[in-house]
Amino acid sequence: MGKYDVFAVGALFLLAFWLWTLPIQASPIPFGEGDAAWQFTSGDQMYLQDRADYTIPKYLGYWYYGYNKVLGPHHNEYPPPYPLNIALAQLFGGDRFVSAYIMIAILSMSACMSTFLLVRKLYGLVPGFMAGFAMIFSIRDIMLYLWGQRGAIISFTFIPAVLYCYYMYMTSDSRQKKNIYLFATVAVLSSQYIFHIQGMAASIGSIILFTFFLWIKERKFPFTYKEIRENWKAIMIAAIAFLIVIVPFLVIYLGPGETHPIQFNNFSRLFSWFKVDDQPGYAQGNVEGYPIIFFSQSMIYHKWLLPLIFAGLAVLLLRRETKDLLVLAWAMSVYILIHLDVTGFLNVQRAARMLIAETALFYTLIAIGLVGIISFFKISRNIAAILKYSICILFVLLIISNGKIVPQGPAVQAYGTLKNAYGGLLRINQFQIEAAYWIRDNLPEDALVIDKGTITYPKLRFMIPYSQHYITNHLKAMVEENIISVEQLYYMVDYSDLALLGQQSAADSLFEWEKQNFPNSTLVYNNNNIHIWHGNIKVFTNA
Amino acid sequence: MHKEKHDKGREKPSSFELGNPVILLALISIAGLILSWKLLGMAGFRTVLFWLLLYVAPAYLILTKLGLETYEAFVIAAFGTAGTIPTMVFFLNFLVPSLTYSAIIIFLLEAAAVAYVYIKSTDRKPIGKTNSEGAEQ
Repeated sequence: MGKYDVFAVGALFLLAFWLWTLPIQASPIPFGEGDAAWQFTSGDQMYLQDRADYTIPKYLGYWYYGYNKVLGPHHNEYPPPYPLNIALAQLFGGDRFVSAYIMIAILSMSACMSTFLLVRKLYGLVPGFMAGFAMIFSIRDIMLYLWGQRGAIISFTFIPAVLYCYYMYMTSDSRQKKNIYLFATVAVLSSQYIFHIQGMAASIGSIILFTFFLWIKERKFPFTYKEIRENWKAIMIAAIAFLIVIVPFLVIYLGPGETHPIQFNNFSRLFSWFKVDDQPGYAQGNVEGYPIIFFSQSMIYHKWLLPLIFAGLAVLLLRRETKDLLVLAWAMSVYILIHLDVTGFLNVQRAARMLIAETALFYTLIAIGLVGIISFFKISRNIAAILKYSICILFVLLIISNGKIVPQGPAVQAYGTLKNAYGGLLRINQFQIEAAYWIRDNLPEDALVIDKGTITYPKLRFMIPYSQHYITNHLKAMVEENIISVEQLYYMVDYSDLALLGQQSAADSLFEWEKQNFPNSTLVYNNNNIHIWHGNIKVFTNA
Repeated sequence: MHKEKHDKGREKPSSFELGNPVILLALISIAGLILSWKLLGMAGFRTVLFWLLLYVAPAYLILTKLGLETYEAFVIAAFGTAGTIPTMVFFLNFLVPSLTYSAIIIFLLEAAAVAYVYIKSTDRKPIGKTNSEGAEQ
């Protein structure tokens, strides 16, 4: 069997690598929303200095989360080893942007491998392949990967791998194997913690529930004093290793001081999986910054496969073997986490992000449902095997269907989304890159730039790593609070996007605005339809 | 405590043939390197090679030597090192003032760990043969 497993995991990896790197294959210019620029830059500055610590440069610290209530201003929002992954790829990969984005893609797409690992071990090769294959095209994961909440998406890919290691630890029959899986659990769980604590919460919740379910099933607590005493050395080493990774970065997670007082509300949400139609912004197609497609089950899963989630749950509830309890614990953990907003412990935005934990779970349930149904019929092993492989082929066809014969599967949308992600002028153009490099080479280190005219907010933010200066759309508050002085300010008026788009009237009105607002300022840069002004700046926003 | 039987399909000892999982994984890794080079040029090739060498390969070699199956060792190696390797490099860079040199030292330490496990394993009894209480025989 080993060769088929290796072939399956290899095929999943290669397919996912091709698909998820499509945006980098199209262009080596970095892409994503504002968060993407922030997270990229926090690793990029490590690469540029060939050093890493807890701090971030001022040009990044002026942005959000620059303040840590324990460490002070200009500190990293994430444990530094997360962006360090990107910096190491840049250092050894040989390209500042392509190498970084390959590393991000590999880490973000890995749910296909972790889901395969878990489902293959618990339910066999065919369900494992189906669940892993479907995860490659999970549009919800792809959306977050493209937008840039990459710490979160990477962290959630670890959940099936953590569950696998813990399950193997709990069920292995030799002490040596138990120890291997104990250390594997610690390594995978602490790695998950490095990327985002939300994913780790989902893993730990599942582990606690699984242990509890085992306790009930076996009618005795899964950990005995005798077992712990006989194996105390390995347990101690594992615990110390875990703490060595966890403790130094606790201050990062505690630093932002994000608190949500417990306040129960909107109990009706408990009776639906993730209700959003009562949320502000739903009618406008956007809830808490997420487009409605993010919550839409029928867009994320194939319509015909959705009912099989219930079939999978039914199989688990009827059978209740140890492996089934693990998946039930996972399902219950995800349910609790995505409803924490009802308690006030999380806001809806954070709870919505927990939905990333749902896709691997649902595809696992669908795979269990598809194959599990066969086991309830008394048929010969040969026919069962033929049925299983036929179902697998049908499943793959549904996932990749283009909608001509049966409803469209998620693969078509995933391919189109990745292929066309941030195309054309949605990434910073060559003239903006040149201007950013000029800023890097010619402006004082403490200079700050307000940008008007660049057509999207993320493009403006992606000029930060190129220029190694803070470029923003708004500095009014910092000027009024005397955090920065007016002398530090530069104002960029960017016509390059409008020129490339051929929008002459918009460019004319911007030119009129420019003439009125910088009468006493000095034009320090005038190249490729981009102007940069300094001195006597009176405008502190680009609105 | 509930115990379940694992590894019914335990892999056969290594032999140089395509059906051997280890050889197959090596071929898939080479295919991955070629694919990354074709799709993303030399930067793609170097980045995937770097990821395989610094992250996956050392942990994979140790885990397979300790008795894990090829595919599970590969996946656990990929996930288990994604946070722990950069954490080690991060701590070391406070002593060695360069990320590049810190990563190279960590790689050498990984190589030493692999060598240690392989040398030690020559004296080791096969794992998985246990009595009913889980203690090794």
